[in-house]
Amino acid sequence: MGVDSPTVEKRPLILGPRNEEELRALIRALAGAKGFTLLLIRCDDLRLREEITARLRRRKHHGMAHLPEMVELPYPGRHVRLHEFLASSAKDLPSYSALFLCGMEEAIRTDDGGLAILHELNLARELIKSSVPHVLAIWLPADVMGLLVTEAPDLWAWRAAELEFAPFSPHAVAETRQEHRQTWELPYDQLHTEVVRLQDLVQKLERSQDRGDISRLAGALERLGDSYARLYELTEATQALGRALTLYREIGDRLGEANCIKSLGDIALERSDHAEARRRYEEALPIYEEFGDPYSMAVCLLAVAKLEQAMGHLDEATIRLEAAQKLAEELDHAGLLEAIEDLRARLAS
Amino acid sequence: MMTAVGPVKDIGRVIEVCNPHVAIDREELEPYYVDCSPVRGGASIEQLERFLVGSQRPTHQLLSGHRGCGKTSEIYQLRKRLEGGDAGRRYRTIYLDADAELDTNDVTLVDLVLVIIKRIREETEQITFSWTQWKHLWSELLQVLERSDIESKQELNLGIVKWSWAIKSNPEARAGIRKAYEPWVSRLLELANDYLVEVRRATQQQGYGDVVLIIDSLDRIVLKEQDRETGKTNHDALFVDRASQIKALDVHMLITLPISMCYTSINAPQLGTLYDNEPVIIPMIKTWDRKSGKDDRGLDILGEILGRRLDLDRIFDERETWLTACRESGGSVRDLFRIVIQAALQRKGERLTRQDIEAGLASIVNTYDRLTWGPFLPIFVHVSKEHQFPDDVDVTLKRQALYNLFVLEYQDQNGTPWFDLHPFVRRARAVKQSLAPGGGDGC
Repeated sequence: MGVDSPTVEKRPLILGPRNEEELRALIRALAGAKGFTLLLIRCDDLRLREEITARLRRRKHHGMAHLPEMVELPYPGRHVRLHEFLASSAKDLPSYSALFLCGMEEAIRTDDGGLAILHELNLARELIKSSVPHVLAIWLPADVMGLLVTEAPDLWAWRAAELEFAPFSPHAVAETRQEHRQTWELPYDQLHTEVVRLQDLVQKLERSQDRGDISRLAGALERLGDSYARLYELTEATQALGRALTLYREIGDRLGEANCIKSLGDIALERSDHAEARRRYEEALPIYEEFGDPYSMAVCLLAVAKLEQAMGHLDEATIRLEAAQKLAEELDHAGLLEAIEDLRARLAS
Repeated sequence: MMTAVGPVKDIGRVIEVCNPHVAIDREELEPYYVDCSPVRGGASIEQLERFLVGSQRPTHQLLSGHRGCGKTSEIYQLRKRLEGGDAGRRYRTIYLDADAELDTNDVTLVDLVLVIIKRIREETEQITFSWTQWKHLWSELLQVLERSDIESKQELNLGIVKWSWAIKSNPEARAGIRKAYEPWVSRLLELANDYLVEVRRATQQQGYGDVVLIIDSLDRIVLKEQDRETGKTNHDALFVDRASQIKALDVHMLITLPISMCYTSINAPQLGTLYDNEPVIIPMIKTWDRKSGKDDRGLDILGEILGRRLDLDRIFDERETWLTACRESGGSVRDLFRIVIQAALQRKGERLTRQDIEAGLASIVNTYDRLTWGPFLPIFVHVSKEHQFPDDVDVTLKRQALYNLFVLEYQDQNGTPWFDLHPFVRRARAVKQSLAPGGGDGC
């Protein structure tokens, strides 16, 4: 496809680590439930909901066959009795299925008796329970979910679990990366212990039957790779990061993917393989830009500046450094600003 | 259908065995039952049983409790004891689930009496007796039906089962039935009583002491204010205004009523005289002793309840972890299960830790964080300090606080009721700020 092509490919949605965790919880709920089980899922974002259901289906068809058949049920409108609609929808389903009821919020929010929908659900809970021997997951925005507490208290009392998917926030990523950096910034003398701990964790997660642990396994491998890199065991680091990268791609975690690519770029830079380092950084940077994560962008730009410096391209290094500085100032991130100043001083000398 | 499977060791099955909607109302689930009466304090369901067994004439008693306090499970145990003759006499129990038979959004005495007749007819199908009184009752019902302009007349002619369908699911037919039978309600009760005499006699010939009609889920009638000035509600209209007619039914009756009726109705003090006894309230299981401020032995009972379903040593990293879940449930078994399920779904390791429990609680409290608490805050501050509602409390707010489980009721051993905030509500940001020293009363 040429750059001028009018066709715009739909970008995959970045879930971010919190939604990944919540997705894992949802998978556990779907895999563990038996018979009628009410799940309430808060989600304000239609695209996010679609992404979650698409991922669940992908996982069912790629290694998680134990997940139930999932049926999306858009709200049929107020002319239909909800419990009858649910009963008829559930009638011909396989014995272990999950119904995702969604799209009720607009009807509920109307002043013209919208709350009656919740009252009807509340009163029909016994009928729903007997006619829907499956998981019933009701997707609602947070404001409407709050109405269930007072307007449908009996149904509310039957919820087995509440889950929440919220639009991804770059600031949340910065926080998570900071957590990750706690491993990354461990004192050198503790790194060997950390590697042993992470190796154990990786083995445990590999043995786990819980396919929901896949993102944890990817995270552990990523941290293991970064720890090896700091110990200058670059072959082991490349192997661990390569495995993490494959897993992140499998589960569609673009943030994890970008972080592994960037770390592999750092290893290439350590090995003075400048072409490989450039290729990796140029692959990671657009992903960070894609979901506007200023922290990771700044870190990556700083790495590119180091690469340019190593290659003797000092002007290019300064340009990249300034771009990194601008982002770090916006974030007011002391650690990053200090690292940028450090490199600037080296460039000046 | 769920069956008790013993304490599971697999953490992946927590959601299956702790599903909060499942009440212990079947034999297959009995291994899960734990007798909580020693730690509930105050009056118990056995009190209802003793009064019933000790009475020579039919009794009409009320039972109440918070949503999720275990009413349905306790009623199942009572039915078993009465049927088994544990109290020296066997009783034939007839269970009427109002939720299944009535539209609890809209219930009147006519609806109630008709579904009672229908349930008794169903339950006595297999008993051999003359059916003379039933024939009278049915014939007069049909005569009124013929004269009325009720929709679905042809269907109603087919049998009493069709009446309950119309009352529950067909608002037009229900309105017609009420219009036709309301002026006739005294005669309806008279005929029902004649039929009941026949049924009770036939039941006694089968070796039972008597018949007990248990009406469950009537506490779920949706609360509606009918008169803002007096605060009268649809609950008052049924349970108070119609008490003498409910009592006119000549059979032992045990009726569940909404907990808010016991505290906020203008007629609450009369309930004990309108019926045959003061309402028995099943309180939440106490998780702490309000005098000493220490853990109550209710925590051990909650642990036992959990331990019937989960292998505590395998699922939790240590005792303190499941104790934390018990404390934060406020003594509500459903909420205890919910906390543990939520923690199990969000767990980081192979066993649940206190961090997992905290993460689970944070998810649960999320919705409470977004509610508007303004008018409730001064009440919550008072309840939190005094463990009673303020004397001048707005009745509507008090009713809502109890109805929605924002405030839970406990009882001391001598039956003195006291109140506390649900721990979920206590964790909501606005509530926490109000309760903090110097947080004010939120006004």
